[in-house]
Amino acid sequence: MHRCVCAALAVLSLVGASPTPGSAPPRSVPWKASRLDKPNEHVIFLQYGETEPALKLKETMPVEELNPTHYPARRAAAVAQHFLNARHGSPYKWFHVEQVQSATLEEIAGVGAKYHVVFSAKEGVCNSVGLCTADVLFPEAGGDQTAPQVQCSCEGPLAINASAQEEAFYRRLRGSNSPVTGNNIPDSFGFIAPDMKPLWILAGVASSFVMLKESNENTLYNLAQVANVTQLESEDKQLKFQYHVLLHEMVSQEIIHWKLLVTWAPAGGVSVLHPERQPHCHDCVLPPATAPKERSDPE
Amino acid sequence: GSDEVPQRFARSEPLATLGNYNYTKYHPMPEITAWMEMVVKENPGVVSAEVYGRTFENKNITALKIGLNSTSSKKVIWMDCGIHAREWIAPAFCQWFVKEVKYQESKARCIVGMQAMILRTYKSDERMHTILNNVDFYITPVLNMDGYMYSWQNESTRLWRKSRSAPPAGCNCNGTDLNRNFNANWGMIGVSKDCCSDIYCGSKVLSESEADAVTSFVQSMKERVLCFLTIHSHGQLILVPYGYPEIQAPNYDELMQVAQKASEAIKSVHGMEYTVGTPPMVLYPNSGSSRDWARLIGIPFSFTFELRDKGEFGFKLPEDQIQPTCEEAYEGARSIINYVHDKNFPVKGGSVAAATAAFWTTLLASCLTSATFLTEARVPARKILGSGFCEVSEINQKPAVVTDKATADDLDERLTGPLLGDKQRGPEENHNAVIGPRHDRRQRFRGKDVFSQGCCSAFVLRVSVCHRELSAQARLSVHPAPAAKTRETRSWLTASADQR
Repeated sequence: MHRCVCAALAVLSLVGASPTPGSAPPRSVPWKASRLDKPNEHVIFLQYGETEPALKLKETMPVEELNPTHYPARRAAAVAQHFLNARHGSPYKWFHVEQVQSATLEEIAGVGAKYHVVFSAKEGVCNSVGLCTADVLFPEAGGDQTAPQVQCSCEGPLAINASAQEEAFYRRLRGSNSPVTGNNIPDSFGFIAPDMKPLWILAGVASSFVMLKESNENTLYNLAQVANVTQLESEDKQLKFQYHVLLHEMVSQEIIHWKLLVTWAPAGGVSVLHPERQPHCHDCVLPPATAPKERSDPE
Repeated sequence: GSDEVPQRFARSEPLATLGNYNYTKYHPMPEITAWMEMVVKENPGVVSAEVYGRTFENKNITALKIGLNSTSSKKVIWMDCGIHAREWIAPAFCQWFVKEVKYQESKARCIVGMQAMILRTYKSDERMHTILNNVDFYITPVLNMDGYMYSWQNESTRLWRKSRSAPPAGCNCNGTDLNRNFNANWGMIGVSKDCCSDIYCGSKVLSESEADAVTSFVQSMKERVLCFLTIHSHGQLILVPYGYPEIQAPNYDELMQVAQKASEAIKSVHGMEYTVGTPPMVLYPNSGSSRDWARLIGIPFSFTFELRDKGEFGFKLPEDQIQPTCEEAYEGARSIINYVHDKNFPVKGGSVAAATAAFWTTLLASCLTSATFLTEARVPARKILGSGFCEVSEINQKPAVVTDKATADDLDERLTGPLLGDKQRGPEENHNAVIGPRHDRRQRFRGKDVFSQGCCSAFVLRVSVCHRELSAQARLSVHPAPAAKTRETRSWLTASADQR
């Protein structure tokens, strides 16, 4: 575990709705209409930053109290976790659900299933804990939207200041002559070399973009392993990596391979470009890490 | 990263002795097999190996039978680990469990044999001795051996789950999910009929030789089986029948209570939360599981343990978590085992014994939490050649060590008399409370004894010495502590009467 410089635990509120004042807005995920940073006025679903007047016109079922230890509440909380990581994660900051405190479900005809969930979350580098409240809307099947919509805010010392470590990591990788690579993180015994740990955490954060997009009420995703990570040349000040990650989906028990192009800089947050699901490979052996050809145009 | 084969995957050295075995590391199958052979060899009459089937690749599926005075009519408790290849913490737990059971049993045997001062605090060790007299454990450290060995081949195979059986006609992926292959609403829900799926339930019920082996073996003794435990990872859950939704076991309430108590026992060790419920409530509905099948054929208690963690490392639980995971899971399993055992072998109580037990409990508790605890006058256990007594009159402060045998014998008789006899079941908490935090207890019995002056050390060292099978006749002297108030020797009898 990294030694944290967590001395000043500011009690900031992590709010999924508004961009942090003074900083650049987070980069978007360009493979679909950016749900994560551009509210789309045609979309009647709950978006962060929007209020819900449109929804009042729709027929709603009564709100059902959910058992917080049962899986529906826990899956919804996991989706909120993916959202938090995509939004606020970094190589020195990622979040896991600790425990769901309470949850409700509202089935909205023609729209989807809206979960309201309160859960404690833990930041894994500094081990700080906070309480989060999230609204997770799983859209009804058959519409054009498949990914859940999330609004989430957290209280407590979760928005820790990891900038010193982030800066040091950033400078080390920017200044190095040899691009960093890694395979099989963690290894078969769960071991992660200390210098690989930020890359593992970054993989978790980047994977959260995918896991968020892929989630529905019948899934529960986690990062199982980083098959390989390779640092790439970057045109701008961002650090750039090609990742091959293995995600575990609990309900199907499947291991799903994804290739991601990930960029990050301390000020700007994590971005994921060109996420590519790899074909299901049953008995396959992973190829050794090689630097992929640079793409000249997006897919 | 590099391409060289990690050292760990290289062929292992033969196991010299059980004392070398590292329970806090993951072991490949050949090491586990060698360990099993060693356990049998070093515990004749208590542990034996039973081969009860073959894997697809024709390996012997072996259980360790652990029990005292085994007969063919003894009751049975079943535990299997490693039905899913990638869940490495599960076989690690089965090995840990065997080690603990053996350890606690031999400790109890030592105490009983030596006619030592039997502290009610060690009743759980006595209890294990009793349990092993009444019950045989059948423990299969690795059920899915083919899959487990495949997951050790290289980093690419690490996350394999299923067996390694050949694909059915018309499909071209190996392996079946063994925990969907049992005769329990087979094929109905939470499965796939695609052989490439990780939850492929097989071409038919019990298509897999591993599932068939468990079925035949357990079936053959089903009237004797009190409890069926199957160990998995990950998720931190205790699952109660049924995985198949909308049916409920007749003793569902009791199953939930027992599981809840186990969850509390787990939490008391390292604070980890294990959620209790049926799979359709807390995980996902499924059919064809071994746990469901065991309950359906009439085994009254059947549970699945999903060990650490909750997804951060998932199946690749770091080795530095093996010990704490096994410690908490052991307490959970023991909680269930104790309940199931006591239900079938009711214990008689005795109020005098109970009061005396309570008295000693309180006394030793105050000893161990006193300010003089762990100060100077540490006596390493290795230097102690025998056992020491304390006169009760000066407990907790100035130790008056009894150095002549006559007085010692007299004291021994007075102290141990009422404590022997009827087996006493008391609250589990006493055990932990008196002998201190778990790590202290373990430290003691691994010969790293660092307890300080006073009767506490004598009590404690007595047992650790006993465990080390040293002479009982030598005497121990301990530096005296500053005097404080004393108790009369007789007063302990009065006090115990008052506490009735």
